[in-house]
Amino acid sequence: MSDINFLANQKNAPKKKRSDKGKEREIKWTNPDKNNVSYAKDSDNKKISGSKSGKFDFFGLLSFLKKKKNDKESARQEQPERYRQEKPKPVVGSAINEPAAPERNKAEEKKGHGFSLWKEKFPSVEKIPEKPAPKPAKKGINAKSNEKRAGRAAPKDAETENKKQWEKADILETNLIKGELASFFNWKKGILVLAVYSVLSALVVAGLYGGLLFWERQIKKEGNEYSSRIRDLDERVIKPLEEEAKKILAEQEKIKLAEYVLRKHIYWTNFFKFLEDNTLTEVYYTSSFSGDINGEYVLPARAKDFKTILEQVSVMRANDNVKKATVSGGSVVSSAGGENEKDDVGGVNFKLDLSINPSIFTK
Amino acid sequence: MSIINAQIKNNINIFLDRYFGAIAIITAVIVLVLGNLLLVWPKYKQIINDIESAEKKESLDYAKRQKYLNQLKELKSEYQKISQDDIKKIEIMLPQENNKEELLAQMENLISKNGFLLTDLRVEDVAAKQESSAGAAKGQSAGDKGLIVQAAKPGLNKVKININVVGTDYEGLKRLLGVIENNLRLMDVTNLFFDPEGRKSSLEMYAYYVDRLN
Repeated sequence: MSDINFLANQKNAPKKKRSDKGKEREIKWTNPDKNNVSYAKDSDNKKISGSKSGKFDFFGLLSFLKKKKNDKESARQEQPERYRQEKPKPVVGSAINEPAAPERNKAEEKKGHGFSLWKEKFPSVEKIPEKPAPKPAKKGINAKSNEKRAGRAAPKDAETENKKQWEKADILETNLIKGELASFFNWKKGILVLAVYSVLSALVVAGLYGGLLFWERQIKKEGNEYSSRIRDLDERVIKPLEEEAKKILAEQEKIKLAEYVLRKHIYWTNFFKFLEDNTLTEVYYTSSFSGDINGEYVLPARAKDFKTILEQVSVMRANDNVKKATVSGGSVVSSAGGENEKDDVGGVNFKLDLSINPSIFTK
Repeated sequence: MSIINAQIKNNINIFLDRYFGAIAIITAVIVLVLGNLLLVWPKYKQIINDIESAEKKESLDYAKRQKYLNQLKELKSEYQKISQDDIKKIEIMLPQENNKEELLAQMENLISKNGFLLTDLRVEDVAAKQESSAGAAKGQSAGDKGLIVQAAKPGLNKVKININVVGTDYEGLKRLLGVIENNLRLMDVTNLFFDPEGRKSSLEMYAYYVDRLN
């Protein structure tokens, strides 16, 4: 960046190789006659170009000073011999004859190279007003001096002129606008690059998200497959077992009911056995029997005598299943006058009121 | 002023020129991080949660099914321990159908086989409502005392049978009662009338059947 060719119009001119620097430095002597001519020409050109640009030429007002200077220069040119007799000044650092620019010219160049060259290098940033057509030289001293200089320069050929300019470019191989260089950022390109980076990142995110979606779908698919496998297993294993279990449960229910019915099963034989076990041999039941399973009975019977009735009641009462055993009275039956064989026996007819525990039927 | 602005602009441009690569990378990283934080990570968490809940549900479901299957297998093995003869006996004890005609024939065979003369035989259904109303009318009945089999028991039905038998003395009555009591088809005699002089007896009893299951 710092190496800028300020003579852009001589880009194609052959550059001096840097390897020359390594060579033994030679002391060259300036040619003030020629240099002065060339610098004078440059300054004139600048003036002309300044006026051409259409800007206010402050230095144009001071042309009278230049006039003096030009007068001096012309005086010098008139006396070349005197200048040649002066001891030439050595120039260090260049292999080629390099004209030593006077101090004033350097300052001017620094001033001039600041913005004007910047503008030349980056013409797109600030509009450079179109240079108007070259105006005719101003009348007065400047015009005259120009004419004079033109008249003097005319005899020199173009080759010499170019060579001098080229030599001058080597002299200015330093960055004279350090820190003043404008930097430009290509916003379009930058935004485009940022957008590309962002889009690429977004694509990565989208890829990850897509991967997750794919994963989720796979998992759901696996879950559905698992569910379908479970359903198949149900159909093949659990359904038949369930059908079988229904039958088993029905049988179980039936077994429970059978158990219930059996628990409530009534055994009249228990009752008759109870009567047989708890009736005295001198007592027998004479008439029909009617009863249910409530345990309340009236049993018509005959005993030998009342004492036997008492004993019979006592026996009955002694049984744990008997709640109540009472006889309210009896009628004596004679042994001779009976119609039946039973009446022939004789004894006492009585009715035994008996209340027993109904559980006797189910034991 | 414009020179200062230009200088600032220039500095900015220099900064952008120098660090544009880093800025681009930082931008990309920000987009990546934000995208991951706002989109990828929540989705990932959601998927993980879904997987966990599904696994939990499936494991619970599996355990439940396994338990159910074990119960079914256990039930089947228990049922297989019961002999087929016992199952047939139970089937005879409590048939699934109320076949009155079959019951009539069975009673006749039972009485005549023991040398008694069957003079009358009636069979009638006992509805649960009738049973309950009869029980209420009786008041302190045997049913209340828990003796009579309740027809209201779910799945159990009763059939009332009345028989009149001739030619039975006391011993014969006892034998007849024993035959009825020990008959495989369960029947409970609830009322008994015995006239030893007339050698007659009347029995009121109940037989049972179950509703067709399944």
